[in-house]
Amino acid sequence: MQKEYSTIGKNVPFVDAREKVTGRAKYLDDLSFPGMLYGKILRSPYPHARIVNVDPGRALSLPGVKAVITAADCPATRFGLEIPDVSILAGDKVRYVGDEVAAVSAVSEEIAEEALSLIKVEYAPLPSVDDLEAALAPGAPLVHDDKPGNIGKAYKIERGDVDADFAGCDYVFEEEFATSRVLPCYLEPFGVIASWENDGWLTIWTGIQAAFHARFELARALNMQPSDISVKVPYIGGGFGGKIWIRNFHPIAALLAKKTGRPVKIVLSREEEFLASRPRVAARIKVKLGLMRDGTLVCKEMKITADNGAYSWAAPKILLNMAMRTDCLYRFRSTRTEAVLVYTNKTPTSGFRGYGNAQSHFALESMVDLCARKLGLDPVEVRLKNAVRRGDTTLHGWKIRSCGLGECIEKVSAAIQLNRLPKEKQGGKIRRGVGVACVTHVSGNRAGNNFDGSCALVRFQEDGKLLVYSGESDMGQGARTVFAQIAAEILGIPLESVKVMPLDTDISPFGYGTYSSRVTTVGGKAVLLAAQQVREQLLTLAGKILNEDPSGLDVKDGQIFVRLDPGRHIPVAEVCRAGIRTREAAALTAYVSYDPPTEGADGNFYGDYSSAYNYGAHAVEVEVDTETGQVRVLRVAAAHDVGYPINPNGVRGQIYGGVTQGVGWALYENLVYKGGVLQNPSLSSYILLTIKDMPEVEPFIVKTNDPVGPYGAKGVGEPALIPTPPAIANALEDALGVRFYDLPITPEKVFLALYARPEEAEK
Amino acid sequence: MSVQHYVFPETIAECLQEMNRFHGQGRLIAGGTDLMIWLRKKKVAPVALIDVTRIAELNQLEIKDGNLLIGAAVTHAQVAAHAGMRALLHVLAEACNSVGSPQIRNIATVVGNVVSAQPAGDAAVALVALNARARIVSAEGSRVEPVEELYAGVGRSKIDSTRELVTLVEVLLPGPGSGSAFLRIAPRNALALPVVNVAAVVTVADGKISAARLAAGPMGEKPFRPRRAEEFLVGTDVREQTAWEEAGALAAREANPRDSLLRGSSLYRKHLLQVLTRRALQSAVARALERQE
Repeated sequence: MQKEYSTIGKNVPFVDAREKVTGRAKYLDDLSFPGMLYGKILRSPYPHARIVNVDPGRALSLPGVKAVITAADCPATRFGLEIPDVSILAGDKVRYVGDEVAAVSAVSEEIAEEALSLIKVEYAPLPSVDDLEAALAPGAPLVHDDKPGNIGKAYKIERGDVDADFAGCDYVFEEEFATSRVLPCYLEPFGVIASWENDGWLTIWTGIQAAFHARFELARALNMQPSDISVKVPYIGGGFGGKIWIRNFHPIAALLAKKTGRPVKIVLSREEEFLASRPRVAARIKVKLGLMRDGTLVCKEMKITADNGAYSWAAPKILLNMAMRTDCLYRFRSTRTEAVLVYTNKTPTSGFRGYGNAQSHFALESMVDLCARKLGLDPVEVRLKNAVRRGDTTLHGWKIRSCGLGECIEKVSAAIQLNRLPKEKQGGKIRRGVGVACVTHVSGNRAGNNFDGSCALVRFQEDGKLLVYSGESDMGQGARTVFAQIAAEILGIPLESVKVMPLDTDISPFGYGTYSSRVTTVGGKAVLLAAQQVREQLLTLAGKILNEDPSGLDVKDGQIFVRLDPGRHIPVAEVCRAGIRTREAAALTAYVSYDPPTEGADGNFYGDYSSAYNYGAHAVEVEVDTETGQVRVLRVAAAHDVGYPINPNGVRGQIYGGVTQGVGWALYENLVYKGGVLQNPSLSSYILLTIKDMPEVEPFIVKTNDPVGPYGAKGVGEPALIPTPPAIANALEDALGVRFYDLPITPEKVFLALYARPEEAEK
Repeated sequence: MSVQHYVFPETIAECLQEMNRFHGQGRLIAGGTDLMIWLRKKKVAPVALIDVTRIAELNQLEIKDGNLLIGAAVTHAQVAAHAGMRALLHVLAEACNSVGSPQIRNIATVVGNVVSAQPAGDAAVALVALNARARIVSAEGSRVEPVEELYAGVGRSKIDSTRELVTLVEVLLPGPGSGSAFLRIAPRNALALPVVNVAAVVTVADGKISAARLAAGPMGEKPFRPRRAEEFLVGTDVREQTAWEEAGALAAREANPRDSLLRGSSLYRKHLLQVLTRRALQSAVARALERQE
């Protein structure tokens, strides 16, 4: 029944690849405007201090400086997401090293930078809370005076009778895991250009993942109406979740531009990216797992303590994901999670590929493996035995319409066994092992009664070329290509005839943006539906011209033809010309607002809130030098149920990238703080892996043809990272017989674990 | 940036004139991979940069009268690729290949690695193990000093690059029966400073070690020489496999690396020093024995 597609499922090169590799694609910092000024931000050197006085003093008299702003120049409103606790510039006190205190605009970056050093800020340092323990200690200093106990948010979610189920289990195990702060480290530093029009409208250029949310949040920060702001999105050099939400520098640039009457550009330096962009929410996760002798997973309890940092941004939602999603990976009978979000005097945390789900997968997928081994069972068999299947409704009400979890596990566990290296070399000095871990994630995420769809505008031009407009960003993952493929397929025109337009909130239809691995699934579906409507218009008009019933027509390779008499045909371009340039006045345009048939979670977070649920499994082989503790990941087999791959190479690209960041999180990357001060704010000391550290990656695409997504497609962006860290920890136990509970698993940690009394290693 | 002038002297004499002209406000630059960062961070603020890479004499890389001569403008990549290196000076080739990335090795100079005075500069650690000497020229005249003696503190060289010029370093080529090796442990396989690096140079005669020099970093203000391990090695029978382990243990006991939050505890680094010393000696001795045959 599967039809032969012309472009869907094909490895077409990304439509913008040539523009990018030839350096012609314009990113934010490539843009400039007449009279544009450069903004720089003065940041707190203290993790916690009262601001006694800010004196712009001599900064204003430095030639070339056009404006200096402090908290006194900002609207007093607090903004942010669920918990509005952010001020544009700090007024009463600073809460982390990097907190924004004042800002300058000048005719050059150098002068702006010099001006910062002339601003005199008097601080009265306060005792700070640098980690979860300190923040939760009785009588701890408060990060926000109105947040007693430094608690930002707390959840308790319970399904079924957990206590009774634990009592009935053959085995109950409990362990605590911890994940670390890591940074998305996208290639292009985040930035903005702000410019005011004469009529009081504000235009913002910024490479952001969620343009319409940005407009809304910016309006809130500046006390404006969203429609008075236009957000225009140039090419984005990676985001990984770190560019979903606005930062303080967005309204800061707007205020500097207003004060000077000139456009203002702010681009973060790499050091500022380290100090003040948003790391992954680090968490301590206690997992209690109840099992039967045969490996049946019965019930689970988690206690999560998560590090919010100084301001809350997306962390409350991330905490919720952390608390819930892993409950839907296996067929648990009951689960209970208590989760708290804790303020600390560190950089605010927020979204990063996995959005909370990755943290709890590290805990659960480590735990399942560990328990299986304790029971003498094969961890792979235990996973297969308990995996959710199509047709299941999970404890949280997810209706599983397509599910390739079992197939993913089988594929990678078989692949990793092929061509394995011996378990030992050099008399056991080198040891090797394999491990598997799984993932379940979402393709969209409806909160309550909110919209969770996407809108698309599809429009033919008079020469048969097609314009596609969407509100979803392409941050490099390939949305433009996927949208173009879908439109080209439906309309039977060559891919080259489709242009996916840049995102501009004044022109593009409403969209939530690129997160929740939702863009192909919901954004693609909106494009598909709009293209179908345009196709009907096109064939109706062609029928009129050819004097044929439109239902007997088809379109392929840019030609509309009579299905039963293919010799009779007319080019799409000619029909478009007739429709647009003659008295036909045909629209050949469709605007679709698509909302997936999901329920949205209720007040107790129960509900089928995603269009599709995606699955995956990774298997890794590791090699450990037991003398030095060095770990090398040799191979990663990574299978992902993506429903149907619109562009298989795009899917593989996501898998390679996800694995890379997963290996980095597990073994290399870590933001190291001392007394609340980041110790490695640079790419030389924050260890991203290089090509010389990369394992061999073998991607597998599992097709399950989701009934809702476009052509059966589901998301893969975030899931591609999630199983790698637990799979590595599991492989390490296989190699060494030692379990690692905390990320990152550094060589020194491995060394210390192998030598109970390290001084012995020296003799 | 403070820099107002960028000049290209073509001879050593011209270079000295330029340094004199700027009275301590001019600073030498070759590869600039460290200096450019110092300038950005305002650790140094010279008025002039005096680029030595067009001085013909400083581009020499050759073996002359049993010495390897490395001019001040010679890059890590050039040294690593030199024909004589693999046969005679594994330790230096391996060290030069460990620095940064291909782009950095193509521009950063070996002499710069010495003058930037980092205690674990890979090439500099290898040069210390090789007992290399530096030729230094200034308005007052010229002199020769062991590379090992050029360190004044972490990141501080006794060479004052506003008035003195290291024209080259020279290494006496090890004779027959010698072998060498360089090893390092770093947080990743490129673009990373070492957690520990070790250079070993040994000479074998009549089945025994007749000379051994070791150097390691970062263990203090300058490349660390584990003297007791070196003394222990002289006279050791090369078939005595436990000797390398013992030498490693001696080196670790003698070393006093500091605790670093980013690069590892002192305890861990001492352990790595032991392991790497043993492995480097095994490899150096194996190479020495090959060269004897």
